[in-house]
Amino acid sequence: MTPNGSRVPSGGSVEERELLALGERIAATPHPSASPALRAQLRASLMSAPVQFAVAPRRWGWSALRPILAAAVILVVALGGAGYAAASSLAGDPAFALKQAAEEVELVSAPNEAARLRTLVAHSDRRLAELQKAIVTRPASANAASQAYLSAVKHVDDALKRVLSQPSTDARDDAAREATEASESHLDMLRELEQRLPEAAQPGIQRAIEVQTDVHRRSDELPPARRTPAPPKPTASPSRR
Amino acid sequence: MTEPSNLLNEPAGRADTPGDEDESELCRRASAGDRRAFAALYERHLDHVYRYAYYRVRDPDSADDVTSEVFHRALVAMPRYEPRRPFLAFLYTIARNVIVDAGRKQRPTASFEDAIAHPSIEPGPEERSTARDEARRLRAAIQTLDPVQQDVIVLRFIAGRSHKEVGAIVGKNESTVRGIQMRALVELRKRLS
Repeated sequence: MTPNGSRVPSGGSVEERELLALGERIAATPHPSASPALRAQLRASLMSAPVQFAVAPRRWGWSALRPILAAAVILVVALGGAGYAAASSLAGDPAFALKQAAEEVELVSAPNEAARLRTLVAHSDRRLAELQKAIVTRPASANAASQAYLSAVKHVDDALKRVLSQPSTDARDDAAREATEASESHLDMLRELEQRLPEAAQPGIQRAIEVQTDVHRRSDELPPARRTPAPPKPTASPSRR
Repeated sequence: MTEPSNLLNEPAGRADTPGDEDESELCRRASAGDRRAFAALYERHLDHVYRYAYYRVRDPDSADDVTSEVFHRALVAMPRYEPRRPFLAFLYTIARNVIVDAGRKQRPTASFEDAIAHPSIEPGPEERSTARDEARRLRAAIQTLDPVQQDVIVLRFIAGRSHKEVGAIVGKNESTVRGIQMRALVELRKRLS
């Protein structure tokens, strides 16, 4: 009997029946599942992976070409061995500077303040994923990772202030709303992480919680969300809800 | 070869999951860049991909690496995903390519003795039962087959795909898949006898 209840039929040659029985043995083998560690780390990595989805430019001017050039630079970096090392690096690693340089290129390519804010939120997502990874795999790097995260969050806060100082538009409000929603998601994770962080990393994470709380409070400055929200953007946090 | 068995046409352990009616919508959103939709697809299919990788590579660490690479490649490829194609078949195709790429750097198959003696597949505390020993032995035997035979056996009997689906993934027609499957089972029987 197979696991789903089917039976080996009585027809066919002896050899065929033997082969069918062997097939059943394979099907009935206890199959492994992905470990919880792989599940969590891979999910965090996927949610924060710096993937650039193609967006059709409105015109073929310099501003339209900048994201393409930036993506090409990032691709070149990502395809190289150094790029691979940088992509998996944590704060404090030599290759981490390369990752930050690639992120600077992303930032420079952002066409406006709203896009810059989205990019910075994505960077903060990455720093949080790295902090989670550091706690699990390299606790000695947790302090550096918490400082890197704090720095990223401060950049988000500054960018959000600039965005909110501009006149309200759908693009501005969507970007700001995404940032405040991300902060809420991050705060949930930070409160869980602070229980596991080493002593040395506590000040950084406490300050980050304060800054993220400020970011989240700025949602009060936003108009109510539209009934038909814009399509979700590919910059979700590691466990954005 | 004629297959008189339901098992050979639709084997046990089919990997379909509940909620397939939502999958096309999730794929559509993920293709548009919705990372949360992609995460939902990831949660739904992680074990399927991991299982395929586990039986196609020699140790669990490599299975982790392959699984990770598959989902990262899928994420990048989502804008080009063809919605009419089952998402899991899309993942299996990527997984197969990842393993083929990795195989260029290392020996694609192992001797049965080597595979079964490999430290990374020694039974852990949870693998002490007779059933687990048999599972380990079967896995070692599967890994001595040539790569296409491994694909067919794993996709048919572990992933539970139909001949047609397996054919689409490995790039062969159904009758060829049936032939490969039967030859692979004959080889496996020899290894296990």
